[in-house]
Amino acid sequence: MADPVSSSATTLARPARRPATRRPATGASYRLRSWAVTTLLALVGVGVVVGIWWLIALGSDPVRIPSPQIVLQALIDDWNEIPALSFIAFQSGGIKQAVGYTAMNVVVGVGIGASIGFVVGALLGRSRLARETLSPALFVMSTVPVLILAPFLTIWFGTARIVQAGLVIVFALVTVAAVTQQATLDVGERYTNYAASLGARRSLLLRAVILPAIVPAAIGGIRVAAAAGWSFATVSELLGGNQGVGKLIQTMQGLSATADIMAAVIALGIVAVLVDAVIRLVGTWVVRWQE
Amino acid sequence: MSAASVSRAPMRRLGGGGSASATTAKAMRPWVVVASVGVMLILWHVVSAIAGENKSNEAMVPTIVDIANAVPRFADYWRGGLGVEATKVGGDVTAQGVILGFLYNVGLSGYRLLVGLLLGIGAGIGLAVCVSWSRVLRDIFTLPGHFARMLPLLAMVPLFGLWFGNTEHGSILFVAFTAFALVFAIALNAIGNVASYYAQFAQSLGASPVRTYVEVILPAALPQLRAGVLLSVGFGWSAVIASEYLGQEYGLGKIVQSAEFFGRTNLLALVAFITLILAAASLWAASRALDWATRWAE
Amino acid sequence: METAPAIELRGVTKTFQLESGEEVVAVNDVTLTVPQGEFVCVLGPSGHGKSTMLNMIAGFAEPTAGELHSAGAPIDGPDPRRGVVFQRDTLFLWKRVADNIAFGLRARGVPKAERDEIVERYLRIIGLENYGRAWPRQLSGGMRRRVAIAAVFANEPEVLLMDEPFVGLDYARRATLHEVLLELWERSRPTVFFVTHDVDEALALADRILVVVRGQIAMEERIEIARPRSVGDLATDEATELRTRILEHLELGARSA
Repeated sequence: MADPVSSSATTLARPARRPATRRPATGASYRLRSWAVTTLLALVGVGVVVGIWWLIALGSDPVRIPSPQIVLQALIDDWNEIPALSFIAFQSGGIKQAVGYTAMNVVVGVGIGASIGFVVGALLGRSRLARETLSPALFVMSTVPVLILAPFLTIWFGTARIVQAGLVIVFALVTVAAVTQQATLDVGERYTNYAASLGARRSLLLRAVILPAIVPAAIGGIRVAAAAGWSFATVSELLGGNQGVGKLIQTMQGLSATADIMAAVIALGIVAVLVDAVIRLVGTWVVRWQE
Repeated sequence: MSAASVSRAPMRRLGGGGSASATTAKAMRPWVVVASVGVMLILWHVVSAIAGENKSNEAMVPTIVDIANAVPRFADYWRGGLGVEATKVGGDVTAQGVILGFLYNVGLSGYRLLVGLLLGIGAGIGLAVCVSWSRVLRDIFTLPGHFARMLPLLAMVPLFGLWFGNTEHGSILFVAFTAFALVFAIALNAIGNVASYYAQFAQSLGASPVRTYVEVILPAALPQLRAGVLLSVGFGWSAVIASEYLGQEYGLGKIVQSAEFFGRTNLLALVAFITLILAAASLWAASRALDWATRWAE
Repeated sequence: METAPAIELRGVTKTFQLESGEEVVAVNDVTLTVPQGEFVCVLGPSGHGKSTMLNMIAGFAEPTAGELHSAGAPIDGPDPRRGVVFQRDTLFLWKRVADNIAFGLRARGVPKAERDEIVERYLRIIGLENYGRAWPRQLSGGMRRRVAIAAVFANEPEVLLMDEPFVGLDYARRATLHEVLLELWERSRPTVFFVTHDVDEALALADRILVVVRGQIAMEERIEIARPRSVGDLATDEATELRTRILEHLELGARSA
């Protein structure tokens, strides 16, 4: 095999002195890039995007496209309490409360959906009867645009909180079930014969062979489901809820309070990035034995 | 809708290439599948009978018959013209009106989806390619790209309304935006994952950086883009419906909005059924196109 | 300029910094001259700087100190005059076999008619004339290596850099590939810098063998046996003695590592 020093030479190769021969950056070229530099560049990225936004806002009506300063001010002013919201929507609370409500819906929704999806997916991977009976329903659920289910949930359950998390649950269930099923089928071939040849019993097989092999896939599915969950939870609130960021967006749209909408969206986005980071960390810890 | 494709379709959407090992699992018995679908249809109608009706005297859970009865409603969503008067200005419900209403709304939604997706996916991959030109640029845009993917995209329709008005362009831009946000981060990652020796080999053969990009790095990244593209197609349908629901005169999303407003569960179920067919068809078409583009892959 | 050596290293050193912050000297003050048309095999234990040297000659990496020249000009990046065959399978999976061979020609702007002719010729030489339209995934490992070598030779490089190109193939496939390589080499006689860790491979191919240990040239030996070299040619007392000496150097190097 390749000797470690020289193979890192390949990936490390700097663009040559002559600019014309610059090589497109590819591959594991980050290896020696320090954590600090990566963080710094990420911050530069945030700065660039905010800068572009600021430039666009310069030439626009601040009601239509408010500048970063205005949005930041709105975030600070309306963090705890939005007077207009209590007046129109008969509720108290500010951006903090709305973001908290939506985040809870996403986290709980993904949790419920992913748990069911994991069990269903493992079942589908192991049992033909399960595949025969559940696949048609799962196919419909995974193909239909999830949003179309929102009006039904509203008609059936009103503004109950389960409605706001309903789309999240469905999407997480379908997503996690699909990846788990595939992983279970894969492990079925690769390891079970080997393990059985070592004399492993069914329970041990499940615990020591199948589970560790399908968990990484399921975590990948959970991350995809959570990323989409922010959309589904918020849009549910927007279409038929009475709380959360979606409701805030809907109310503030009526007042043309663009700055408040953007402040809430950005605040929720930051929470989403943090939640994703937590899922990833937990995921890495759970599968720490992996290469 | 073969057994294998049922289980694999969503997987491919998420996991990229994946292996096709589903085929080696015990094949499903068609008669059991048909029987279980039959049982589910019966259950559905039992639930419908128990659930009863809503205030508009429509079934809470519409049966197949209810859904079929909703078909003529499409005449109400024809804007008028071509010799068929719109029902809201006194026109009768005619077969032509139903067909025109169906085609007009499906066509409009499909058009917004297609143009929006092409713009969004194109821009997402294009920008990812441009940014990947330098390692520093790619590092700079990784976090903003990740952040964009995490935004509550679908609920940003009102923002697009405020920014661009509830125009045709607003809807298309909204679909494009959601597709862009989903594809950009994935494309950036996919291009970053292309093994460096491919580019080295190409350049040692005398290929210019542009040629290396177009003929080597982009095709090499394509299999990994599959997941992002299919996700954005599925998401795109939700985006079109959300956009039409909140700010358009016509389109499937508008029908959903008014059906919900008037409590017409049967029409709602009919539109859901139609979008199911359309989404399945577009996902199938997209995955066939991707299959063709990556037919070289192992 | 005719007489300028194909490859020239003057006091070349390359150091790397590991993630731990530790400095590693991969190539240590190497001075080396390879005249045009020579077939050089570089042997050495894994991790002792063979591939790093090759990467610098290819222009993929820059030296920390020292100078590298090729045909009298300083090396400052990849150049089609120096073709590289990698240890990894670098065939473009998304291009058909013929298009893989034609890639370098297209990059250099060779007209289509001429290109097709060249591709046709190389497909014949490597014995894959019926596989031009095939995708790489449809070929066996040995066939793929043949295509990779043809793709580089078709570009008519003056220098050919090969980084353990036949690793992982069984003995018979390797022997076939040696034949193909020598046949191609005899036609255009490029300078070859061939990195391997297989002593027998080096003995079968090289004009000159270099043994690299700890980033330095520890031993250098000419081989005057005419090619193609049969198994018998390499079983003489002289050859056996040479093999033993090389192995001793390698073993010494491996122990000290």
